[in-house]
Amino acid sequence: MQVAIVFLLLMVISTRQAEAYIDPGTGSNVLQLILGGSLGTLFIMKRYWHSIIKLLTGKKSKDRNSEEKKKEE
Amino acid sequence: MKKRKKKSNFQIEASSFRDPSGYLFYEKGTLYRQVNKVYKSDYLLLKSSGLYDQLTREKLLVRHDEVNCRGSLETNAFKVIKPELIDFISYPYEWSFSELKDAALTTLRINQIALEHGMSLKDSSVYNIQFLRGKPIMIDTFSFEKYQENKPWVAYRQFCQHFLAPLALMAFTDIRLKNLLRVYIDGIPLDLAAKLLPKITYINLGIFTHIKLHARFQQKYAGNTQTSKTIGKNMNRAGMLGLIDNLMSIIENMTWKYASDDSEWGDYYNKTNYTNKAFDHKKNVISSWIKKIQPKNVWDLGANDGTFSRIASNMNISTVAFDIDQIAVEKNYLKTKKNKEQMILPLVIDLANPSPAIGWAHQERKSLIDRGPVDVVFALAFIHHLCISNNVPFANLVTFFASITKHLVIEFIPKSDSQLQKLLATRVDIYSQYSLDNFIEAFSKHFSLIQKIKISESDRVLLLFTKK
Repeated sequence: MQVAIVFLLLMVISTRQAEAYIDPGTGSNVLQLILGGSLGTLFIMKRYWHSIIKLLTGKKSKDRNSEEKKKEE
Repeated sequence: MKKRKKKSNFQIEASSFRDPSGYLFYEKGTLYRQVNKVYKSDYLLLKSSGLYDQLTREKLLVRHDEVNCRGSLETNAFKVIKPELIDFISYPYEWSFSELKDAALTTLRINQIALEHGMSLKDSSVYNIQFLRGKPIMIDTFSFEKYQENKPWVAYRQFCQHFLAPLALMAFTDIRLKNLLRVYIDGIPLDLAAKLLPKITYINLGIFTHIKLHARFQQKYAGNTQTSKTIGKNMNRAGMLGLIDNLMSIIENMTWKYASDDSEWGDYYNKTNYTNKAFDHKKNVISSWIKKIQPKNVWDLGANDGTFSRIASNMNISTVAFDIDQIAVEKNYLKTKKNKEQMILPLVIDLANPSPAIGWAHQERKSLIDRGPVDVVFALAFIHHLCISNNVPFANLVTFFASITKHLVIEFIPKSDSQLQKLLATRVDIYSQYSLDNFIEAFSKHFSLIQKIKISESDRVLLLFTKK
């Protein structure tokens, strides 16, 4: 994990001028694929956490989706 | 592009050419959207999955009716739909910080709902969002495609360029950098945004990842087309939902901090030369004129916090409240949200340099004048800024007003007024022609003077003109 962070930091620090011709889609996709795993895990944990809070307190948590649904009702 | 299929009573909307899924066209002045056969399966899924119903129910997507008209006879046409109309088409470089923020959150919310229905946004252009009845709404019915498991979000780059980068620059660097959207029609390039953001954003994980790191990845993989093979990974649904949730959190937490002293107007109405009686008299005169004219739409130029715009919007008249002051427009928008006002749209515009026509062949995004004319324009305590601060002669003013309105409610402020004296304090008075008589004479070229009323307990004068 630490190695990955150092790698990412090095990539940013060594920013250089963009070339005139670029393919902006590929880099965006690669970044998403790298982020996808951790953000997906965090998202699932967040959902479970909100479910646990709801179970323990009987109240709706601060989960954005449940708030949106509440608004719709 | 306008001439691509031009026939009598049939004209393709000039901005509608990028997406092969279909296009917008006008027939006998009515706006339609053709669904091409290539988009048939996604269009049917949008309807059958319940996504269209949920989005329209939540007022996140414009409604439409399926119709029969000339366009439906085309060989590549699957259907023709007639979309709900937007009162006034506005652009992100005219929005306040919170308007852009709400538009971004609306886009992400739409994508969340789309994923629940087995679809996702195939593009996330900021121009797909407009304001209708006080709320941001998606106007592009063709932005949805069937969700493909394990594929990254195809509109992620566009979302970061169109929404995240301008919001971050407005929040962390300078609110005026929003104007870069006027230069870059496909959103602010991320390498440029990364350079302009302050060093403090290195410790903001969201901005660091989605802008600075994103820009670096764009450079590193430029020209490389083997995305997933490059790193041997796929993006599952949880990853996609996590990405959207993360972007939502970042944007929700973004704030634009400003000092009220930074506002050009700030406490304007408390500082100006109006007594309570004068203020009420001005309101009553404008109100009586609006009742008499019964316009469909009003533009209030130099609207400040929308005090006078609300005379019209409270009569259920579609009203756009323009002002040059970012803070005044921000406050006005937050007020419309708080009060759930539906008929007023606050926008930032510099009338000395209004939004130009931009994009392909100067036709993709319209100039301010191209979006008129309207029934009524308010120019209240405003024109002296153009005349004195920008040296615009009366003759040029009248030509401009004649191109945007049928009726003009205008306030003339004499040179003796302290507000005008402030403008003259730092410059040589070269405005010998600035007088009420010369003003009326200049405007008589294109307008008939209907009524002239001196505001009680003030030297200021309200005038109602109607175009000849």
